[in-house]
Amino acid sequence: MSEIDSAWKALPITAVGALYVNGIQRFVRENLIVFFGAGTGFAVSESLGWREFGLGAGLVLLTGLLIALIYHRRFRYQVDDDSLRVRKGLFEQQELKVRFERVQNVGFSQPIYLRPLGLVRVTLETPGASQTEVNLPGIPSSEAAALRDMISGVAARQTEPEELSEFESETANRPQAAFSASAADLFKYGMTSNQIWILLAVFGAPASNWVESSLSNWVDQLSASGLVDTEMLSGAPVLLALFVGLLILSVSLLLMAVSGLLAIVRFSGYRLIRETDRFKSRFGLLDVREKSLTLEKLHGIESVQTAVGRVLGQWHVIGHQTGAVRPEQAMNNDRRFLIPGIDGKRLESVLSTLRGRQWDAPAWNAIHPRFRSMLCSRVSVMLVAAALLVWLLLPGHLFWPPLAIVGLNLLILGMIHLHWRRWAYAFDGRRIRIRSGLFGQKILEFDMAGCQQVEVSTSPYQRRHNLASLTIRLPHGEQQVPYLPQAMADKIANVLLYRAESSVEYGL
Amino acid sequence: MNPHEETGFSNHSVAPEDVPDYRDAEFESLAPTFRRYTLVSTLIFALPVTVAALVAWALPFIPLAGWKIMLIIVALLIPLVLVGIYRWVDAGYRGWALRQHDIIARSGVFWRSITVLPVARIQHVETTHGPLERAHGLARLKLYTAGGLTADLIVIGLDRHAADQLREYLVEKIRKRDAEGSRMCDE
Repeated sequence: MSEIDSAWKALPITAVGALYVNGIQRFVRENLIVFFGAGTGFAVSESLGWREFGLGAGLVLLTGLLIALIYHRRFRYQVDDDSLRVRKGLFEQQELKVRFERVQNVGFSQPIYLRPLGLVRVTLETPGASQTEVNLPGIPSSEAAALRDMISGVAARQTEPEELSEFESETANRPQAAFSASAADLFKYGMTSNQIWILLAVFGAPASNWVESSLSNWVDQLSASGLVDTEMLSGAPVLLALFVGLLILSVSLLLMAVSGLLAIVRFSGYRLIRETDRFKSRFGLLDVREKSLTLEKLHGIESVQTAVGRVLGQWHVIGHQTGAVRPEQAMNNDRRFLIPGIDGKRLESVLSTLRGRQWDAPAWNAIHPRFRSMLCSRVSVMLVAAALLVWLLLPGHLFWPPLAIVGLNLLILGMIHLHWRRWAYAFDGRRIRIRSGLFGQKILEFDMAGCQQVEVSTSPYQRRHNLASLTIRLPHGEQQVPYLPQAMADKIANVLLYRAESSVEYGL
Repeated sequence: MNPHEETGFSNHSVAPEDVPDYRDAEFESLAPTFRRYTLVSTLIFALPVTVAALVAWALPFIPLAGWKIMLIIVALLIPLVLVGIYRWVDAGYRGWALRQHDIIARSGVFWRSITVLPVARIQHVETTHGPLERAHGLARLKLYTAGGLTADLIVIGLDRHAADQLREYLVEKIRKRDAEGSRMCDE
């Protein structure tokens, strides 16, 4: 590639702005709690005014600028034929080297403030116990495209000049998208995604405080005005419950709408493009991102349908790569290769695009009913014993606490049944898919050759009934199939091992 | 089909019945000193409780009656004894097997499990031994994979010499595999 010469290079001077904004953003994000505290402090304290606030903010902004300048001054990168080296560090120098063959995902991101500068932020992800990544905070977009092609091995072939400018210009002749999501699809994705729970967690507590205080004010005013008899209001519990229910419903609808709008902003114009040996996805309104995923690094395809998604027939698909995702990141993980807003009709076509071929998945095999009866009986024995104990030990032999426990028990039994019914597996000797979930569902599909480790385990109960549980460890995490017939568990384990050992002779 | 006689793989379709069965592997039991090691390590673990018992017995200012202290100590020691018995029995059930393309570990008395790790998935190999293991001539073999913590396999209670041999053997296999892999990439 002639665009990239192999010398140590500094980032363009315009990238200081990017570093600056990025650094401030990160500072704010990482110290969100401190900022909330400070904000409350300002609001409460009399002696602290706007002048102090301005001074503080100015100090932070100036320090940030200084850090960005030093960072830029010390940041160097070098692109070789087969690797990228980065030298950086504010106080101590750090040198990283990434071999291109280890890179499994090249991410581009162009936030709105980088667009006029023609710069792109590049992230290279490599597999590890927890994924590691190397960042180039802002390099010219042509160089970024060249780098991406080098990594994907496309550099060896002739690259058309259009492709380099493709990232900058929206109107350049686009390759055919394998999947694209409309704003309506994305809105539905946002509504159904679990993001709503995060929103609820962030805004729920302050919002409920506000609602409570304004409600009590309102009730006070009402009673003071004497128009409504508040005694009558508190005497109508059904009305009150109805009111509260309505409130909860409207708040959830509002949150869903907000979540939908956020999804539109985040994934705006989502397009999935299949190239010879990789996938690319482009999306974003304010922050235009491009992610690429090398075909051979993709080893698991997960189709997810949340509980609300099942009602609306909405799916999203996640492409899994090597490297365990820590659970605390899993919720809103940026590193996953996510395809949002797929309706039921288009799911199969997206899946076969990712898979690279059609697959007539064999019929689901259910988990043995003994799994359900075992769980049910254990939970029931424990909870009924607890109910009895409560009844015996509580003074006055009250009957409602044990009754409540029994009610809870019934609820749990229902959930166990749902969980058992959802859990299923299907395999045909090359691929396997496993479905699980409670109200929602997710289906993980993978090539059997990708398995890392197989474990067959049995409890005394299982041995009595000739059953076994199977744990399949994959590069991104483990999958369990409980309570299979022993012969079936052995058969799947044997085929998994055969595939893993014969198809790919070298590790991932 | 005996997997040890197999010379190479082909990749045409194979009916599941023809695939080598992991249960056919012949398991090696652990080093004979491993049983004693489990006993000693359990005893060492129980030592602080026992010492505390004796001290508490002798101290005059503990406001509990002697038999109550005794009861607490017995309640503490019973689980330890049970754990000791379990580990003793488990040591007999544990085993490992090496096939041409994978390594198998077996463990558990009531909840039994058999774990199979393909050699092709091993990233690196390590043998470690603590002081107690050293005293018994034991070592443990740690096999690391790319799948993170849960996908690593640790085989405990190996004879130290055997563990070192096994490590060398696996390292050699991985080296060959990687050389082959990079040759295939170069082509």
